[in-house]
Amino acid sequence: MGKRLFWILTGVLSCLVLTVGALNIMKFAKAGTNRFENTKLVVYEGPKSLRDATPEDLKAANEQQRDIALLHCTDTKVTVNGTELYVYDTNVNHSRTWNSSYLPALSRTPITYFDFEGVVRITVTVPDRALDSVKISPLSYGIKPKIDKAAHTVSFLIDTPDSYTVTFDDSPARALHIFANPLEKEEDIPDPEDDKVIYIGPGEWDIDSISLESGQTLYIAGGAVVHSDISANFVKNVRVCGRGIIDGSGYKGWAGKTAYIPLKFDFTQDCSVEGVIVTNPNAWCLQGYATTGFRVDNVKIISCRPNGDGITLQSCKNAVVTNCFVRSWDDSLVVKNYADSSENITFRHMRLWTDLAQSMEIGYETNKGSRENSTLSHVTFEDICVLNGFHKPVISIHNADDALVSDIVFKDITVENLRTGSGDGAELPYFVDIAVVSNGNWSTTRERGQIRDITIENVTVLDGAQVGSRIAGYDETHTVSGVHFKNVTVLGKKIKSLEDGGFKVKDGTFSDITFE
Amino acid sequence: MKRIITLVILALIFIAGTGTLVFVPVKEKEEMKAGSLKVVAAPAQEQAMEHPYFKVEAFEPVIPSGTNVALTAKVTANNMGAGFVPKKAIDDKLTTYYEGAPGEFPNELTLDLKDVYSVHAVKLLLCPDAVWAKRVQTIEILAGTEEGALKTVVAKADYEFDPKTGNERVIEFPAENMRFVMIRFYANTGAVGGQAAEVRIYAD
Repeated sequence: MGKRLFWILTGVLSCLVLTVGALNIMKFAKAGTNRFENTKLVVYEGPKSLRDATPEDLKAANEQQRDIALLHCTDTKVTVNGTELYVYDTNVNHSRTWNSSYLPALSRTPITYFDFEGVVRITVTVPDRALDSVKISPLSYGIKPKIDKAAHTVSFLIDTPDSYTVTFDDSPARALHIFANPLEKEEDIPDPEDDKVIYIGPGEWDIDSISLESGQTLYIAGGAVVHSDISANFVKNVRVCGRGIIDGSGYKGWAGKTAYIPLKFDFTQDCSVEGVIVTNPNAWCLQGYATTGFRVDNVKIISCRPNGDGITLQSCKNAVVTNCFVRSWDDSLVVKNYADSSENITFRHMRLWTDLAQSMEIGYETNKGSRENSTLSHVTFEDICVLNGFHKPVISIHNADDALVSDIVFKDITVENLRTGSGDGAELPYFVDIAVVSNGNWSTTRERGQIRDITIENVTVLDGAQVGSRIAGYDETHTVSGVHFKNVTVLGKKIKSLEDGGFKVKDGTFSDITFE
Repeated sequence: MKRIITLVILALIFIAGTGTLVFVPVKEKEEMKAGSLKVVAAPAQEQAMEHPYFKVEAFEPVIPSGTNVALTAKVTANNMGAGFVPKKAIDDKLTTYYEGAPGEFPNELTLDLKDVYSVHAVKLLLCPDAVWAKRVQTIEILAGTEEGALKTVVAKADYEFDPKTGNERVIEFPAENMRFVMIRFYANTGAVGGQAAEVRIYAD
């Protein structure tokens, strides 16, 4: 062997040996370290008065046929770092068709929550599941759970507070929602002795409607379940916070008559809602109407009954909604004009599961109050994970009045499962739908409006059905102009043209549509 | 030969190291440090509790003497919010109400009693449900026997409406003959227009 060749080979092998050696040192240095060294954990016992769910309770039936109360779940066990969590059994709705009797069949799903920092191991035991496949959303975390089929357990680590959903065997049935909250900061927990603070501690509470006054803080502690509806009307500096649950199962479905909105903020200034969970509302869930400076953070919503919109902002200005989870039987996030114009609204870092209607919707009502020169502008949906879009478009603008809708951004959005067009969603079988329309149910103004300057950027659809999209103005003078698609990928295919995206368009009613 | 042996040894060390890296598992401990777990306990209870903050003392409504002569009145308004028609102020239901047009104060609700009565009190009611939060309405009452000649019988003043006290206000004044009664709303801290679920006018 030549000298030169020998020294080359020696050099290469030595480098490889050193590299492997260093990696082994790093690996074995971990032996003996404690994963939970820096972990802090808060778990909340559930109310002792909540009934255990029985097999009868899990049957799909409407609210007149079975009890829809929030219950203690008995078929799903969850531990975090070995400590068992209280699991609730709440109602959801798997039907994909509007029910005109206002009595759709309701199913149930388990939810649980805790607070933490550091690293935690979550172990889920589901004796009734085959566990042929398990998916942990958001998929962006890349969590590959350990599955023990014999023991019916699923185990995985998390180190980031978020809302996680465990889907079993590729079915939405009995998916587990885990709300892993950040720890409450000491300075953020209000003083129960402060006379501006209404403190609701752990346990189950029946409270007639709660109306908050300026400067008040309503704290709903972890472990609390409050059967009530909370409103703030013409007030400022109101705060609703905590970790507990606001549950509406005691109210009959609204059937178009009386809606008991769990969180209703009308004509308010600088109010906030943080950390709480909403279950079983009798209509829509969190309403802002003519607010300024509204802030919503880490709110978790699950609705199942008709008109169960998740977060609906009507004629609001300067609203910021962040870190929320919304699973809804109607629009998950929606912005409308019911009175004056809307502007400067941001939804950021959201997790959505849309059982019915649209996931991120502007409209339909864009000038219900028939104002002069109505506008709806500068609305941003950013860093959004849509776990499931089961019914109507995931990204949509339906301008059904005479408003100018402009400067709307949909950015950094991942759709994990796109199934739009199911059930009566077949009337709008689109991924993206941007349209100026006249609608018998939702239009108020005689004139039609305009849509301008829409950005759809960094949007990826990972899985689902192949569906097209739509861009349509109303006519030659009520048009859609300036829609910019950048880096949009659907089921592995980059969308670079209207043809690529299967766009249905209305000729003569749109212009300046670009793809990058 | 020595060189070959050297290379073989280096290669074997590399293979062994790679094997260890890939196939030998390292188990990190998973132990919670003392004091790092907090369990928030639930209270003992068998059914949902009432919260002391929201306990409301029973309220006895105030019923002025005399007869409510408003029920058969003809009622009109200078403006109204969509759907909040003036007739709703005398339909004997507290779940329906008149509301003035948004931002168009003063809202004037006028009742024609169809006859002249000696009136000594006006009672204004809103829905008593707790969801109707406390509010203050600024109100003046005008009256007269002829529609075009109304004069102030109760000067403009603020009236608090609170569900804890039935969400009602009784406004009493020296008895006076009148056929037309106008409730004039100047402001409402709880809505965009003046509101009245019921107007009751008491006459001897």
